[in-house]
Amino acid sequence: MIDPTKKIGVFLTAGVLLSSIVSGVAAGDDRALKASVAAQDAAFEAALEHSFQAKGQAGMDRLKRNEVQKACSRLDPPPADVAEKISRQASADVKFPPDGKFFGDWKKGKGIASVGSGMQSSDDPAVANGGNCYACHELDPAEPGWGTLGPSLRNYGKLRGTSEAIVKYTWTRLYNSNAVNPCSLMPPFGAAHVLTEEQMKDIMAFLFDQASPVNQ
Amino acid sequence: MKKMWKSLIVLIGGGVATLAAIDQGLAADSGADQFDSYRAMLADDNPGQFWIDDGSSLFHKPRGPNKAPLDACDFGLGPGVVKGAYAQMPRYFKDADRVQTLEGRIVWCAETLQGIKPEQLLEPHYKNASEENSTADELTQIAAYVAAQSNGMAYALPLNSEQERYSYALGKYVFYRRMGKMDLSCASCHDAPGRTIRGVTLPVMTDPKTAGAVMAAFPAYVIKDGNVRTFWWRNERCLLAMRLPWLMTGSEIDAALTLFQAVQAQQSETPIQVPGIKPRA
Repeated sequence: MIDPTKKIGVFLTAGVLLSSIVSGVAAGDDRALKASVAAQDAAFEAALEHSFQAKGQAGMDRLKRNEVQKACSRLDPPPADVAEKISRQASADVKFPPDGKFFGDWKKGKGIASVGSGMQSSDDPAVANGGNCYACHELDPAEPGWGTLGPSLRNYGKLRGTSEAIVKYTWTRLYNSNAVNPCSLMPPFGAAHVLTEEQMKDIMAFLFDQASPVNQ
Repeated sequence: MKKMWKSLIVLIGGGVATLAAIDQGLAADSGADQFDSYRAMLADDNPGQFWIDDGSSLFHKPRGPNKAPLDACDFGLGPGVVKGAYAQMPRYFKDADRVQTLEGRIVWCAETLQGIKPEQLLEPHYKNASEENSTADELTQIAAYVAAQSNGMAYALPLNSEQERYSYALGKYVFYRRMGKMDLSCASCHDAPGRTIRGVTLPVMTDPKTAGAVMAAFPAYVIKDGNVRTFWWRNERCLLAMRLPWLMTGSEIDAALTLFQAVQAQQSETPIQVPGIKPRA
């Protein structure tokens, strides 16, 4: 539970902010509105700090957002110039494998794709993170269930081949999907260090290898 | 009598394996159909009924250092009035000077009326993430009892105070907030129709009809856990999967997220019918 004395202060602030927002709208003053929206957002952000507590490996730092997350936290997509900046920055930050090798072991990739745990407050930080690919995508049709948050990736390599362009595009998608699609629903597996470079290579092999069940 | 019911619960537990197979083995829609018939089969003997019965006993019993029952607790309609109270929660309470959820209000009343420390009620299930733990706990029992007194009524949030409107706006803000290492918001999964995760259909919490079905069912008997879970738990399970820190029961954002979703739900006028029956969450 929350410390009640702390609460009162927050609510007083909230009340004052809310009335300032209402008066700002009534006056039709754009600057006042912008200032009061910013003040309200600051109060909302403060609410996060006292509503959550660190647990296991999930520290309070995880509530902080980067600039992309801030721009994508809204009902509508960001304006075109912001979206373009997001994808340009994400593209520039993609790290391709320094050894030039994009493919690891598809058998390992098959396992990583189906593991859904890792990084949760209840997970052991010593255990490698899963990719949880089936949460959103169809890959190996033998897997018992998959989601539709992302497109089907069945026959991924078979349909697309292994040109340098498609291989780099796929690595980029895995590393930080915002590079291709600003505010993508897909987690930035490389940029956010969800998966290691080696794990990403294994997933790449799982997607492209002709022997992988994805391409059967 | 209780023993008989316990063996029944074990029996139902055996059905969980079958159910899990149904969930995983079939496409989302046919799986949902099969679950519907399973749910209908359970409806007359909903194990969650025991949480309500036990919650009723706990509610009226003198307890804690003050040896007081919860009968004087005001859930928004006056001290001791539980009928219809849950349908109007979360709401603003002057005495606590905050918007409170059902669970938050119970904890607050237990502390102020009975002298029971919040930790005592929160420790068993509200501070850990263990699934498949069928141990019943007092807070959930009391919550199930109070919530069931709104059965047959649709949500009707008052939203007539500045604090409640602020809480709603905060809930909406958090619902769309991209965060955590997986870079997700509630909206990523629950703001568009036709989305499934691992073959499981995701309820659209901004659609009154689907939000209504979810909100009307909690506190719900969760078959995977063999336990009753409240709506706080439902939200925390998602936040856990988003790799976020722990959402404190009764916190400002717990209330805000619940209020935002309850307001979506109330437009459908779906009658509350708790405990609902849920396969996993």
